Amino acid sequence: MWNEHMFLSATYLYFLLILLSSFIASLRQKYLFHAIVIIFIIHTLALLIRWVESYKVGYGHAPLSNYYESLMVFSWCITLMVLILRKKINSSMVVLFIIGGSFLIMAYANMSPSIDREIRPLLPALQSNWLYVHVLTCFLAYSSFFLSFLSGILFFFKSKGPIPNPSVLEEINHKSVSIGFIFLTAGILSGAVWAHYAWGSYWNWDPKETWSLITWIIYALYLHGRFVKGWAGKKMAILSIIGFMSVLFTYFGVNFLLSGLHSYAT
Amino acid sequence: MSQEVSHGKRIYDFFSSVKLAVILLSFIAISCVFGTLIKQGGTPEDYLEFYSESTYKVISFLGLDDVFHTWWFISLLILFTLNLFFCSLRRFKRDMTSIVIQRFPPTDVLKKMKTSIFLPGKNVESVLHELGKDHKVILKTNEGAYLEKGRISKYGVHFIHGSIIIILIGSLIGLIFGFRGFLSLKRGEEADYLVLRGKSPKKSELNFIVKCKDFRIDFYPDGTPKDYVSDIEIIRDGKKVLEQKIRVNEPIKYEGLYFYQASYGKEGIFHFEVDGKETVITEKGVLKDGNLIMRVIRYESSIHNFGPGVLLGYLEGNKPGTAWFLRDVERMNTKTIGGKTIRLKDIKEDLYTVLEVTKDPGVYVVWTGFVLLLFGLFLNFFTHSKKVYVTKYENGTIVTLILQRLNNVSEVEVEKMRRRFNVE
Ligand code: HEM
Repeated sequence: MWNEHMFLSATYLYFLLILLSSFIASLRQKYLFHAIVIIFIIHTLALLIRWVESYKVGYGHAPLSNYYESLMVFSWCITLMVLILRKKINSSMVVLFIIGGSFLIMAYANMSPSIDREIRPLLPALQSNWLYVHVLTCFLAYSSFFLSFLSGILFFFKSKGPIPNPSVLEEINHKSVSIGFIFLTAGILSGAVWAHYAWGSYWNWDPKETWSLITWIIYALYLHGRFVKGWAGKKMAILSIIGFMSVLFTYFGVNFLLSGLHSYAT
Repeated sequence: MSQEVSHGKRIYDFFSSVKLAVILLSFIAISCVFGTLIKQGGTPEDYLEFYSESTYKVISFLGLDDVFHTWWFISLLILFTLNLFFCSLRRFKRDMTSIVIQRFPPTDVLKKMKTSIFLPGKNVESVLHELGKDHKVILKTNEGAYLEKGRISKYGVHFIHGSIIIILIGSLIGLIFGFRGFLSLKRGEEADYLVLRGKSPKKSELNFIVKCKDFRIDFYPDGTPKDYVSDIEIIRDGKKVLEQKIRVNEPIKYEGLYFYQASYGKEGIFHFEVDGKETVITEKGVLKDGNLIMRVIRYESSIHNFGPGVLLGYLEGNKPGTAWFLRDVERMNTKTIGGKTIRLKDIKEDLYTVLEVTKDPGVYVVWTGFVLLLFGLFLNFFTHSKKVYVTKYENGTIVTLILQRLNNVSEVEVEKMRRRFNVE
């Protein structure tokens, strides 16, 4: 199907861009964002084409339903975050690391033999407009937290080579946690509203729900650490790394290790 | 007496401290980790398969097999709610009083600040005239003025904390005044009760009748289910008051009760011939013929490759016995029991729908909390409040911005202000 070719092309283009801009300074300094916008458009078109193609096979739903589609949307959200926060990030080095994240997710989704890339029908439980709100807000949150995680990691390599200085990293870290926290809250709340209409209860202590609550608490601690206790530097970097570990567990760990209402994704 | 007060004050301080909040939130998070890594609500056998006897004793003593309903977890949540309440109360009081007391900083201090702009040749009145369009003048003296903008941003944090309290109260209302039950209905069947969920399921009467007119499952071409639809009628005092279809994600609501499409099941219907006379028996039904009594013990829609079969239990006078009947195997579909020839002619399946029935009067409180929480987050992160001092200085005016937090928002704001007054 066309969408898979498009996704694959976008994957190769991400790779090419990272490779070339590591060597060619002028590409890195002047045209990086233009190149990202072009790849982002292709990535967006691939999602739209998959949407259209799902109508052709008679199912007709936005590409937000299975594991493959969620990975495509995850990487799309990460690139979108780069575009939204481009003024804040202000360091081509950091941008390349983030885009590297999009690339790895795309490569895994498009090449791993264990992932089903077919367009599948939508189960009755997923047929709700809340699905769209819920999945998009959650992935926007996850991708902002990915940005904060990266700036947390880079913080420990301070001022080596092209890595920006710690205060810039802290600013990126904080900004992306703030945005991520709003989206995570919106994601949890829309999930709760949806659960109310689908299962009759807005909170079921299902493992995925519970892990998103754990993640939410960790980032609430982060925000209080910074604004109430005035924590800074290393402490915040560590908290953002722990927070993202919790995000990863919420997204992957729960699907593969624990069972529950959300286990459709495997 | 004074010691008493300071004692009370110390408790209050602890209760309203962020330190306690950090401790409680950490404990809640850790309990949640246990509540997902250990299977919840299983039978003892489920646990003994994974854990040793002594580990299981610890698990069941601490309630780790049902974390979210233990007394200590609920106490943590209640403590957290109180902590949040007192903490917010204290902040709120402080935020309200800080509005009243406003002192003017000395002019030479203002002049030196990074967020100050000097406007030569402009007088205070003209600057106030310009800023007055979107700023509120709080204090005015003959040296200058103090203005504010977007004060509501400061309340964002109160909306956030308040809404969390509202959500927790809403869920408590649901816990106390709500319930969950279910109802299974065959096509054409009706019921005036539901079965409450819980450790020991109980029947609960309804003051109306729920009738299932029809139930069907639609499939996609590849065989996966597409839609479950129950056609439901609510009958009250002999009159139909509501007729609606229930689908997954589309519950119906009647008298504060929600009816959800939760599940479905299949029931076998067995067509027998007893001495040439046709009779029908259902899975729960009993068949009587003279001194022979039969009922269905087990139904399998496929036994190895021999097609569907049913295990009948019977009483022949006082002698019990069992017999398997296979529909598609010639030698196995006819038997003689108690002198009667019994032949299984056909097996049909009938679908029944399972509706989840819930009542939660706290749900609108929770929704209100959700909306306020998002609103509060928006105020807190996407708006900021500004204070502006406008003071006379030599032959011009100084405009000084004071922002809630000093970060690069302040640079942007100062830049905006410069442009507003056409200063380089
Ligand atoms: C999980 C629950 C909680 C959430 C989601 C939450 C969220 C927030 C957020 C987003 C902020 C604003 C941070 C900023 O300045 O940008 C904040 C500030 C604050 N929170 Fe919480 N909070 C929670 C629980 C608590 C509790 C239990 C307490 C106290 C016992 C508390 C005390 C404070 C204080 C003192 C501030 C600073 C307010 C100020 O700067 O004036 N929070 N909280």
